[in-house]
Amino acid sequence: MNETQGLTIGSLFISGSLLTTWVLMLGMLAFSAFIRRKLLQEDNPWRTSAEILFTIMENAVKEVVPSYYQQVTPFIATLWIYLVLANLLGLIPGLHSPTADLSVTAGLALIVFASVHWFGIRNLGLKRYLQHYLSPNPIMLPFHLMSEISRTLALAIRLFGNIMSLEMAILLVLLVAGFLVPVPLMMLHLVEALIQAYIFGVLALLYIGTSLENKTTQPDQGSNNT
Amino acid sequence: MELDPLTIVLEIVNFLVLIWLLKRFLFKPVQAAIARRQQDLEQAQQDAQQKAKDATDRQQQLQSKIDDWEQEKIRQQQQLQEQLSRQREQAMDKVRQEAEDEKKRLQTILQQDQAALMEKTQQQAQQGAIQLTQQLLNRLAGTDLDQALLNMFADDINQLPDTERDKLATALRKQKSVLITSARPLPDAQTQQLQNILQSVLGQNITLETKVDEQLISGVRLTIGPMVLHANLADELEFFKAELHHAI
Repeated sequence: MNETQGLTIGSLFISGSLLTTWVLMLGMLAFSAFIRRKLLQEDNPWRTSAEILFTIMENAVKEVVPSYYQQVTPFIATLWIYLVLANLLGLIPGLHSPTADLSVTAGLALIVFASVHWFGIRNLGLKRYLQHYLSPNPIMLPFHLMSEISRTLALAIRLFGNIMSLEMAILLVLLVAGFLVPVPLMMLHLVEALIQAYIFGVLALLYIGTSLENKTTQPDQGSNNT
Repeated sequence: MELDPLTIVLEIVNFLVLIWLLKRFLFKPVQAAIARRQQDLEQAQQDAQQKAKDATDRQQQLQSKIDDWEQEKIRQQQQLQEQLSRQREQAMDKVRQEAEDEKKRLQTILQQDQAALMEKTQQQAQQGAIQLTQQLLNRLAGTDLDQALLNMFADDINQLPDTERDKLATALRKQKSVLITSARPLPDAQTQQLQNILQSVLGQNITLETKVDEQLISGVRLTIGPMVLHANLADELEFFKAELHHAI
């Protein structure tokens, strides 16, 4: 679907998903500026809500990587916020979720893939991090490599498949049954959007945590590397 | 469902930019707000702890003052009790002393009253006895008793010591006469007897002068100048009365 919509600038074709993402980014930036002003006020409900939401996300990250949560939290929190909003965007008539585009979810999965190695190498060092692929036995190296590829693919396809299928189902039901009939499916979309965003972020967090597991026994070293 | 490399690359770039933007404009301000709130909470907690500590110190100070006041109260109560005890003891001593003095005074008054009563009773008894005696002697008075008294006078004057006789003789020489006072007119025989007795004892001639005084009851009273010889019941009664009074 999304492939058919977009913007062509010269020889470049900007997909609708990218345009939607940019609009979403602008909205998030504006909302950040709004929240930033509210944060300067005492006992403001927006401030309180923002603090609560951030604290919840930070605590969730802290439970998995207690020594590196200050490094990892911005990445995971951005993932959760972006995915929740991107997934819910499909509920607005006339718009499509960017995450219903496999290219977008693939890009996100590649970012997660890269971030796992980035955090691992940054905190463990290249040599020690690469030794992780040879543990417990060098024979495990192919399996580790297959695991890296498969879980990245799974991340991309799981999110894409869920969001795309829900949008497709809502569209089909709307075409077949008419107005208001897809409302239950839209409710399901609402729940599914939250769940898929949570799953994507938690899996990314777990992958990062797995890459840092050799270091988690030394909590004082990584906590200062913000 | 085709993969678009440009979209993938731009999505990666978008997301990295988004991470930077959110971290710069959302997460850091939120973290700063949380830190401020945490700092405010810690400050409030410290203030509360400080206030609690101040309250505890104040409570201890007040408790200490209360304890001091309590001890001071107990001490002053003890002092007051001791003072009251002393004052009560002094008051009791004073009351006892006053009671003792009053008792002594009353005893003295009672003794005085008793003595006065006793004296009055004795005087009354004495006067009664004297009156009774006087009545009895008045009934016994008569010529016979006058004679008996005259005889007794003769015996007594004969037994006078020489010094007393000389005094009588001297007084008689100056006076030359003897006043004889009797309760009733003396018979001549008794007058003569008296003259004989006096001349015999004093060795001089004497002149008798007679006088009647019924108060004498019976007997005579001889007056020789400043000297008086008693041989009558009235004077004896007076002597008796004086003796009684002296004895009492």
